[in-house]
Amino acid sequence: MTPAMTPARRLMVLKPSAMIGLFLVAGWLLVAALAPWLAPFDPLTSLTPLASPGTHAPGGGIFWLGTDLLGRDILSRVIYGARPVVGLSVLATSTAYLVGVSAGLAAGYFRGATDAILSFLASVVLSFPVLVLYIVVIVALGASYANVVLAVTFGSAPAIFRIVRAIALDIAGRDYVAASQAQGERAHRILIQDILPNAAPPLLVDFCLRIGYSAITIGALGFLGLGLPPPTPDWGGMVAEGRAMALAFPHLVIFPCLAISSLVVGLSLLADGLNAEGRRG
Amino acid sequence: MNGDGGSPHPAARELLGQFRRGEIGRRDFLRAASWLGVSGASAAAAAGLSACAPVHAPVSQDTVRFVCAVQQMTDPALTTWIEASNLFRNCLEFLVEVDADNICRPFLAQSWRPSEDLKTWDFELRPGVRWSNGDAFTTEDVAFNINRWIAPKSKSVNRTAFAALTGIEVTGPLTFRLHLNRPVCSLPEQLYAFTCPMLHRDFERMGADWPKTPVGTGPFTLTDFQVGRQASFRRREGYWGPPPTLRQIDYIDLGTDISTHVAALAAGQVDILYRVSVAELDLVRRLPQARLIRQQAAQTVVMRMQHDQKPFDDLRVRRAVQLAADNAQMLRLAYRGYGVVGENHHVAPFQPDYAALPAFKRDVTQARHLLAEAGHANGIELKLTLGNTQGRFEQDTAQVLQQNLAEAGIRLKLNVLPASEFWSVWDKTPFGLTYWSHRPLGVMALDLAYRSTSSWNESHFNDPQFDAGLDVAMGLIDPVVRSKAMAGLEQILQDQAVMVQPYWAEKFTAVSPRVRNYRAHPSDYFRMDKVWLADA
Repeated sequence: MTPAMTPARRLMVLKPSAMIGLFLVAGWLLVAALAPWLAPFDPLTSLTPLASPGTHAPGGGIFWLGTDLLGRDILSRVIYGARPVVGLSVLATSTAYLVGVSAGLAAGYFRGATDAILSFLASVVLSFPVLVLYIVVIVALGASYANVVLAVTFGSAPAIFRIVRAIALDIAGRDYVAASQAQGERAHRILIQDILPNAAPPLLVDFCLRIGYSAITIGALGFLGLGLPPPTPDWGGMVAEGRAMALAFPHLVIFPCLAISSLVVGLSLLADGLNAEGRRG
Repeated sequence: MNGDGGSPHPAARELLGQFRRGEIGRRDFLRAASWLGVSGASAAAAAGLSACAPVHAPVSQDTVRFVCAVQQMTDPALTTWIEASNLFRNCLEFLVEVDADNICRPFLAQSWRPSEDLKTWDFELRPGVRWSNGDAFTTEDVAFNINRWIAPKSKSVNRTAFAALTGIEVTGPLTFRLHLNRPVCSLPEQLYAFTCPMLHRDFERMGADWPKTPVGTGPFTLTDFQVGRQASFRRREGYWGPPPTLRQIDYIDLGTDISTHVAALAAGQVDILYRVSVAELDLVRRLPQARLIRQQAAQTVVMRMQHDQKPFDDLRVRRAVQLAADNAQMLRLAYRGYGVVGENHHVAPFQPDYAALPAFKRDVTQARHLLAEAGHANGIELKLTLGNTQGRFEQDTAQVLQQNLAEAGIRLKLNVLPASEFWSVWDKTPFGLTYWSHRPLGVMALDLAYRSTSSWNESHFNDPQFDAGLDVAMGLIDPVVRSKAMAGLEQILQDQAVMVQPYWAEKFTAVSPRVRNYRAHPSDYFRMDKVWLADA
């Protein structure tokens, strides 16, 4: 790896598994962006209940993945379902990162009372099982886009805080940080210019993985009936809706499960590739 | 035509005439006759009907394994779960029985006769009934139970259910009289509520913990009781009635996941499931080891609007919601057509006091017009709260309603709460979807849910004309006259657009093909004493 390699060039030399991950993630991003043009039917309209995959729709067209109990086209719901899952997992992970990184940098750099208080708070939150924490937040505040983001942020930020704090503690003792301090740089400039860029590679890998976790979380919340309010197409909710009938109508759950799996596997493979690339670089 | 040799109620003769003229059906006749204290056999004989043929069930050494939650219980009168009652129903019996056909029949009371004003009811107990500890069952036991239910400090729901009951008068070792402050034609049916088993008169002296001292008059005795795991009942020798066919019943708690129950049935590990939901029907149908049982029941979901909350304080808004709702589509999609379309008044066509009204027609144009009149020309946003307390079909129903209302410009948001959370707000939310279980008579549901003074009046409906009409209907025995009174009540509920009541949902369960003579019950009040297993 030469210092002159651009990020795009770095991606191009990723190992094949990472390329598959990139392909899957990019594919779902495209599906989410182009949902209105890709979906063959309105995902909320009842047409023919429990049609098998490949059945002809009454008004023309084909239910390629069949329909659900209420007669809604599953392919269209999977396509539209990519929007909240992809959008919310990226948004929720970003907000969790914003909180976790800010707190982690502050704790690792300032140490002392700041570190003690923030670490204590993080430990308190981390002492709860994460899923229980999500459920408590959603039940207390109600199911909505904003509250799903809030729940994921609340549950994930402490773990991010711990990673960032450990990295910041290490970097804060380096010579170049001491040099900046000697030059009289303000703390926030040191945090942003010296510490954060050097903490970025491992955080990038964690970010990718955590988006996958968030996608699983959003799916799990939907499955538990705590995700997005109906009738929003929601992969987890679709699995929950079809679960009781899965043995008789497997198409109700197979396709949303495949969607969740492919996105999460894609993100994991991509994170793995970036990690390997980081170690090489 | 009197079961006990006394003079019949004055209405009995007119009832027989109505049946012979074809004005009422067989079921209505038998039901109304039972109200008047005429035994089923006497009524059938008087009307020239063949009485139900007795089932010649073999007394066997079989053990049936029944999937059922085994819940903590101490005092059966305080039970809040029907599952628990299905355990003690093997040992504890009731004064009357409402059977799977929704007909009220004698049980521990062999006859009853109301006064003409339905305010005084004379009961006569069956002689020769003995408790499992050897004591005779007498009116002393009945008085103990009824006084407990209606005591000012009673914590039982019976206190509310029997609010009209002012006292019991013991008139002999086997006869007693109940005094009411208003006519209640459903009194016999109410005595079969799952919280009304007859407990031994020394129940409290024995510690008021029934599983520890399981004394009963019933056909089985409790031999094992492990909460969350298993309960077993063994045939009781010396039972007063025909000996039960089964030697033993094992209730096995497999948790709440019905798919697990179906899997256990398919694997031959159990014989009878408590219930299956509409979601498992196709699976059950495909299993050779399962036989599906369907049962018509007056169970429903009601999407009621609170009359004192904005925007539902405007009749035009409520009416628009009702007109835009497509009840038939909700039944077809959310409950897969297994039931009967509702008419937005909470009385089922198969309840004996139902009166047919002109068909309720969906009219989206009129709904839009009413909304515009009410100042919502650009539509309106509403929120429906629900809790899927009985299953996912509640949410599916709400989603179809959401599509229906959208056609009229009503943007319906669904607020889906966890079931446990829902029960804390079910009667507080302005627009909510509530599951209502089966009641043998329509008036029983109306009295509970829509009388202005009822504590379960979740719609806050307050109409003196309705309350007065309900009093009249509850004091009528004559099915023809009562039908006219009920028509008025149903019309008021429909016209006031109290609710969208989309359908009456059937009940389902599954049993092993070996199981014989098992009947689902509309209230889930199962009787096991005549069930047996055929040879494999």
